[in-house]
Amino acid sequence: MSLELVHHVSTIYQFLLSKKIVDKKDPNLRFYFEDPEIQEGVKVMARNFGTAILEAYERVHLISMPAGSVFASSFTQLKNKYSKVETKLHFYTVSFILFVYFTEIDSVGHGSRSRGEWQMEGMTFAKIAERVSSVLEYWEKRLAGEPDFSQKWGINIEEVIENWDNKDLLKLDQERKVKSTRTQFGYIQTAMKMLEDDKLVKVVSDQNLSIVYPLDALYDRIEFMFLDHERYQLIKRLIQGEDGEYAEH
Amino acid sequence: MIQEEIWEGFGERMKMGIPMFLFGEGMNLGELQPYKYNILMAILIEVFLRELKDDERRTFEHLIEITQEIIDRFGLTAEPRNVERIVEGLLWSGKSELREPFSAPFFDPHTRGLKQYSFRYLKHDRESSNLSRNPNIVYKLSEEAQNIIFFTREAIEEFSIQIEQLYTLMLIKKGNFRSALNFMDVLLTKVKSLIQREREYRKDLQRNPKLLLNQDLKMQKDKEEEIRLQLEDEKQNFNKLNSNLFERTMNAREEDRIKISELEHKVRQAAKEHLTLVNEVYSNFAYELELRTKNISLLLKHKNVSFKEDIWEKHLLPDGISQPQVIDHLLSSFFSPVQDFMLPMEWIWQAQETRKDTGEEKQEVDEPIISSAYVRVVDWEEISDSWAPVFHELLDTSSASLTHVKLDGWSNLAVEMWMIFKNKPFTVPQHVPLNEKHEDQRVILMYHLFQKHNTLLDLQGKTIRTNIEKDLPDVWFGNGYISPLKLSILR
Repeated sequence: MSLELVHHVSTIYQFLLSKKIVDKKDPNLRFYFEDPEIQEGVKVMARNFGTAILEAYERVHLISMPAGSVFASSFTQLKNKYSKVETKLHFYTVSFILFVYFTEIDSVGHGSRSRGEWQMEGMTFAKIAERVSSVLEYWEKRLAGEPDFSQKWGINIEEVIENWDNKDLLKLDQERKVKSTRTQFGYIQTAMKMLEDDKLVKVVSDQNLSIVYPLDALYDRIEFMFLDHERYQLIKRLIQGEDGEYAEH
Repeated sequence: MIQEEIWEGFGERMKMGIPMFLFGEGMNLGELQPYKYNILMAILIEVFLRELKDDERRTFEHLIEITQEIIDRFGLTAEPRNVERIVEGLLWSGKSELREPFSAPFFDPHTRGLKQYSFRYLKHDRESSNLSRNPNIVYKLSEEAQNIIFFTREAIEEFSIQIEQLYTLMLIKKGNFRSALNFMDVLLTKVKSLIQREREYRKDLQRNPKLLLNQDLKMQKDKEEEIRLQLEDEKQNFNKLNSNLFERTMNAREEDRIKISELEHKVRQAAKEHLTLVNEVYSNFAYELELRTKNISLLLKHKNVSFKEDIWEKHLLPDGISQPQVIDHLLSSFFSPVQDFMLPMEWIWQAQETRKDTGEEKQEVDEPIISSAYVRVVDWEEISDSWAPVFHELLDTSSASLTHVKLDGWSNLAVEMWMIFKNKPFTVPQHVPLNEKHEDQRVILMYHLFQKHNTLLDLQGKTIRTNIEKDLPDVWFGNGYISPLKLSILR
């Protein structure tokens, strides 16, 4: 491998690492798109650092891989913050909020609002809280009604549900933009701040009403996430209860 | 104070609005009540289209028939008496025998008084009534009723350009140039929005070629043919409009000439835009063809996996999370790697251990800190959370004023950091060492800030100075006063 190749590959990777989301037309990516060797090299480097290149329609993203990454991310920071047994439920709660949000704005499917509508109108924290509550309620009913539903869970979902139910939606005297585990809004703020830091959403506060607007980059990630067939299969196997390749850490 | 401009043209505005506000007023339709506006609107449009096509079947009896058909189409049932009520209520205000027009007061800024405005929705169409063999009165839409249709037209994309062209033609023939002008404006807007639609479709296709798969091939070809014919017709109509206008110029009155030449200008404009539309439509046809023939692989290769349908609805919602790794795998790739300091590996591990050893048992993030003379346990997280917005402002605007900060919620220690900054200027080191027992607490604060806020890394190497903002009062922070301090950096 020539020294020049190494130079280009690492320059491009460093660039992606600092910008995270880059327009495909950016001149810094010229060699990436023009030279297949360089492109392959960047992808290999990304993999070695436990990251991946995501090519969407108009942008290129650098994202983290689930295991073995040298780098932290908003997600790993969340995980580390709530890593003890007593605090894991906070991690799960924020994770569920993210799932619910992605599901809501995923514009595929009949009767769902289009991406344009979500980007114009946004979604209030209250709406997000409502959706999360309804999902947790659904699971709660099934836990009560189906004896073996509880077996399907590898995490303490009952604790998550109980914790959420016991929290106030918000505290009137609390600044809305505060991340906390005190209120439902506090959890939502944590989740949305993660997305905002990664430039995937924009959160606007207006008269104490917090509204989340999804950005194009988020749709890039939702749509392309599973385009890699291998990864999709792996996730499916994991979900269905078979052992994953990676150990939890 | 109300601005005087609101009264400009106020009378005209109200005259436009009143027919809409009174639409359907006063009718009591029993079971049909909730559907009143839908039925009335449908009747109006049907009558309008019959007018355009010179269809004289617009008598009271015909209106009843129309109404009944609409009700059937909605899947509703109605007493015959209620069907009659609808038509009567559309034609006249109050008791049907009296055949009164509708009326409401409006404010006329010229006379500064309230005047009465009267109008009807459906009027006696004298021309058609004379020509018709039917002895009964034939109705047509009043200008007010036409306005209602036109106001709501913008929402309808399927309303073809053709009808608008035909109507404009009709107006020109009748010498109603003012209305024709209004019409042309809307026509122009319509053409432009259709152009926009084609362009967005093109973008959607580029993003997701699979959209083509949804369309049946034969159906699409038929549709294409239909559209080509339609576009040709529309082109012809513009020519008709032009020639009509030309004729009219000959016999026109002085005051109409200006309107006519304005009309000619607008028709030319609209025809030009229409050509653009034709180009866009045809190039989209070509692109679709290209996709189908050359890039068939694009259409077939990837099965579009949707998070919502394939992951959430199929698996997570019904089956729950079977193991914690599922969460990792699903969420981690949504986030980008965060570039930490370039620190040797052992130092990273050391940091982890150090944190675990402090033995902080924090249940909730905002539990109060037990302050004591000997600060052994400092909640740096809480302090850095409080300080983060200050530093963001500092980075964005080169200064951060204490007076901009809401100090309730800040712990005493966090507040005290302001005074520590005041002590002497602080240069943010390029590489922040991890030793939490560093003497300068500001370094520790920066270390914690950088863990969570990568954008703040831009502060590295900058020197932060702190001054007191003169002429501003002291700031109360819940436990005492603090001088109005301001941080600043030199760019």
